[in-house]
Amino acid sequence: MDSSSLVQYILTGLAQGGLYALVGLGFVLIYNVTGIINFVQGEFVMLGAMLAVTYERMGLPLPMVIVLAVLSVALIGAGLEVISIRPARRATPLTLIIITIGLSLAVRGIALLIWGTDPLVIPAFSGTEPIKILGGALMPQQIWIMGATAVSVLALYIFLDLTVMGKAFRACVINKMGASLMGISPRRMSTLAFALGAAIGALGGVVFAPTLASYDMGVALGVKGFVAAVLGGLTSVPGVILSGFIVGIGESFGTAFISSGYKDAISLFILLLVLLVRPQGLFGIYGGKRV
Amino acid sequence: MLLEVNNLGKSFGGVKALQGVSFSFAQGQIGSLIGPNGAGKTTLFNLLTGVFPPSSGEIHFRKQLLNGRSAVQISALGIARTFQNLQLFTNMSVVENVMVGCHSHTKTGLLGAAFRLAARQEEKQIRKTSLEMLDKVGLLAYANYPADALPFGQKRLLEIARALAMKPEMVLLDEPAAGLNPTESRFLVDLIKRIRSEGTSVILVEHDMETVMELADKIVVLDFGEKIAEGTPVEITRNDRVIEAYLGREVEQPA
Amino acid sequence: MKKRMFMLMSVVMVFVLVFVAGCGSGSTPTSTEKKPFVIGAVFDITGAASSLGIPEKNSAQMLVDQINKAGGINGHKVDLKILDDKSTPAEAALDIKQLIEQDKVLAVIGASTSGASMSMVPIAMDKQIPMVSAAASALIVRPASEHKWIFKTAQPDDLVAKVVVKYLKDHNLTNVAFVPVNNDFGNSGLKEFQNQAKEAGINIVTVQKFEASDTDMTAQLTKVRDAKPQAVIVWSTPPSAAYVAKSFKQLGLTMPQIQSHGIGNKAFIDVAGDAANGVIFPAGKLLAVDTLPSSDPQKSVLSKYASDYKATFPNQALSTFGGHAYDATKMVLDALKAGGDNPTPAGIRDYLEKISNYPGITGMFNMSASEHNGLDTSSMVWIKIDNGKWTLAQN
Repeated sequence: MDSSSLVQYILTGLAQGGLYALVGLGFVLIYNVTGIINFVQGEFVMLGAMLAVTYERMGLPLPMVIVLAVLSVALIGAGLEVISIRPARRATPLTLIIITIGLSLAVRGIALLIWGTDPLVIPAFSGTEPIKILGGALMPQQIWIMGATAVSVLALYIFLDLTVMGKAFRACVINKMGASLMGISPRRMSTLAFALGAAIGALGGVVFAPTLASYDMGVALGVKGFVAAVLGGLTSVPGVILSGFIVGIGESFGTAFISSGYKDAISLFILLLVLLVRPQGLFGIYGGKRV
Repeated sequence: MLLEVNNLGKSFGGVKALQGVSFSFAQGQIGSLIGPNGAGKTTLFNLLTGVFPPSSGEIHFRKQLLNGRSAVQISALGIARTFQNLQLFTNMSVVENVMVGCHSHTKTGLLGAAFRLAARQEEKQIRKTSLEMLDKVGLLAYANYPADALPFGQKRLLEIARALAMKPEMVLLDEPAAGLNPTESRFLVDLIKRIRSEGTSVILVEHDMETVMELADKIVVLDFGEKIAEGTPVEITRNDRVIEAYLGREVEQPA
Repeated sequence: MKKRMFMLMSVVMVFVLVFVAGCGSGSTPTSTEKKPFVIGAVFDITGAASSLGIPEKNSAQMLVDQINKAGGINGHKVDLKILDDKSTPAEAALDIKQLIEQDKVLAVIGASTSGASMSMVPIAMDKQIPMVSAAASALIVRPASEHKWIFKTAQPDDLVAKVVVKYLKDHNLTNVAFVPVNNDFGNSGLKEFQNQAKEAGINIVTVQKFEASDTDMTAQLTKVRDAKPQAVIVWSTPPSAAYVAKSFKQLGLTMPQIQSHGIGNKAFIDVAGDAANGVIFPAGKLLAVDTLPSSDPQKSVLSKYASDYKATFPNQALSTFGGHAYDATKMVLDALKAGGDNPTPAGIRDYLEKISNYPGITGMFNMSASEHNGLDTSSMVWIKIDNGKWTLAQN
């Protein structure tokens, strides 16, 4: 193998990993605030992609398509939280997780009725001429995906660390009771978490829409994002981002050096291996605080 | 009256933690709740702040019924508190903890905050207020330290600063002097006096009788979940039931 | 209490959705004097292979509706029960059981994919009900002696492999890479291709598999590039087949990209975009119906199907898969007609086995006791994608 092939494996891994990281980020955000592993996360990605197709076909310009799709899905995320999670919030986390699984089936079913089963796409944002990097090739759209991951992390950092609302959000994560006595409503924060998680997922879906928008795409992406989130320890933002890239690169190199038929097995194998050695994930705090 | 408690009771699965407790505190006073361990002082605080609902009786604050209101709603009415066992936001810096206390006074909505549109000016104001609060409790120098890194006594002061950041009408302090050294205790007493002089009413749960006698305008004594006396410090020290049930029985302070 | 309500509500919601999505059609018989003939169909209407299953469902339904409108068969209406196997073999097995045991169907059409069809075969054999699959794998009907009740209308992959190998030989492409999807379709294609390439002296320099749900094949194609083949053969269906084309373009590969008959629908071009241009693949004549000479024996059948389909489903593009189901349904209906007022499964089977010189959408069928597909290489033409359109390639 020459060095350009090696570069290509890394680029392929980074491009896929960026998307996994973005999906995983939504899992982490919602888990931190609500203690729920939200299996609707993959469907938020799907809705982002589907709505991008719909808005694009209405003839809206690209920036509008992106903003509208993200906002719409954020509203849907908040709405789902209010109608399904909030009324059941005294239930055990397991019950809540089961509710999210039911919700994801429902969302997928509704998407099937609205958009049908054909895979849809929108035009790539910046053309389809590959960009050469050190002998490897990247599609401009893959750079959009990595950019979206970077923007999400940056926006999340600004929100959590530099705004009072963000601090209130973190306070709710660290100490729910203390926060509510400070006048911070955990219910409101839970809704906010779902809105933010949905928005991040939707952004991933929108930048992925030139590759695929299909009613059942959320399942596969949801699983990869979940693996990245668990690998990263479920609570850590840097952890999930790094883990997303680890999974992406692991798959790419697994294809190259083991067998291309085991790509999906590789990410699960990485997860199992890490959980056996470090049950708390790569970056988690063992027995860490959960709210 | 600022705070009126009427025939208040709370039981946990048949165990009566509080029963038939009635008292009131006036605006601008330092009130104090005393009583031996297990007398129901912290339970009373939890009822006042909506951590859990009362089983019977009523609480009125500024003429408004608190029964049935959530902790969030009660805090919005102007009651802030500190905790016997600290409830700081451990992963945050000292000043961030105080800023969270200011959260309820932000005007910008969710979307505004998320997009930082109008929020900027407000952020600055809140940081400034928070630093002033830290200055007031003598923690300004540690503003950017992780909250977890502070020694115990200063964590107590940080909780007070955070409570004050909510600009409450009344602040409930749960054993603020426990674990403090004499210098810190002295500082605390002065601080509480200052809080009162700035117009905020205070309710104090405290074991240290010296502190209570020096600060309190009015004292309520609890024993086994019931009120056994109410009055000025002078009246309380002369009350036979108090001397018998409390002072006489538990001369030593708990560790 | 509240919590239970919500659990219950979500469960009910899920079931309603699954039900609504799953049971699309199946026209109820109107009150006629003669009792309707009931036949069944299993297609991949939802799930990974839905781009195959939907045109198949449409085509079968369209044909049955036409027959019923014209008075049915021998005065009997035809009741077509269509079930969705959700692109999974397990569902397909349950579906055929339901059709045979509950709906008492005389024959079963489907399924869309090889995996689903294979899981239906033992049940059709056991119940002695004729089954006509629309899927590719030759193993569905071979050997015919062990598949007495099973027929299929799609070109078998060994036939397609033969066409591809001939093309490679004609163009002197002796070192090739094979890139199949990792499922029954791809693996069966790989096996057939390996057998025939060996005989023809064609060397497979590397085999790189991918999953049907993958969206980026650059890693596989980088390995292909390192193996320096003269041509790349891709054996898959959309959308994954389209991502191979996209990754092919991304890496700037220049050797011929030969895809399989699995990409004979519009979804491939939609998803691959400009990366589809230059791809060649063998397919039934349907895709080139407009450019077909009128001397072709299939011309009139193809033209009628194409114009009927476009009129009935104006928003959907033609696909060869629809043609497979159309042929299967047509054959079963012909067999019913031959059976008078009381057609039997055994009678239908015997009729199917005797079909000869039969112009279908997929090709000229010549069934026999030893051949339950009956197509030869003349049923396929080479199609090149040019500017997002199918064109007949020179030879």
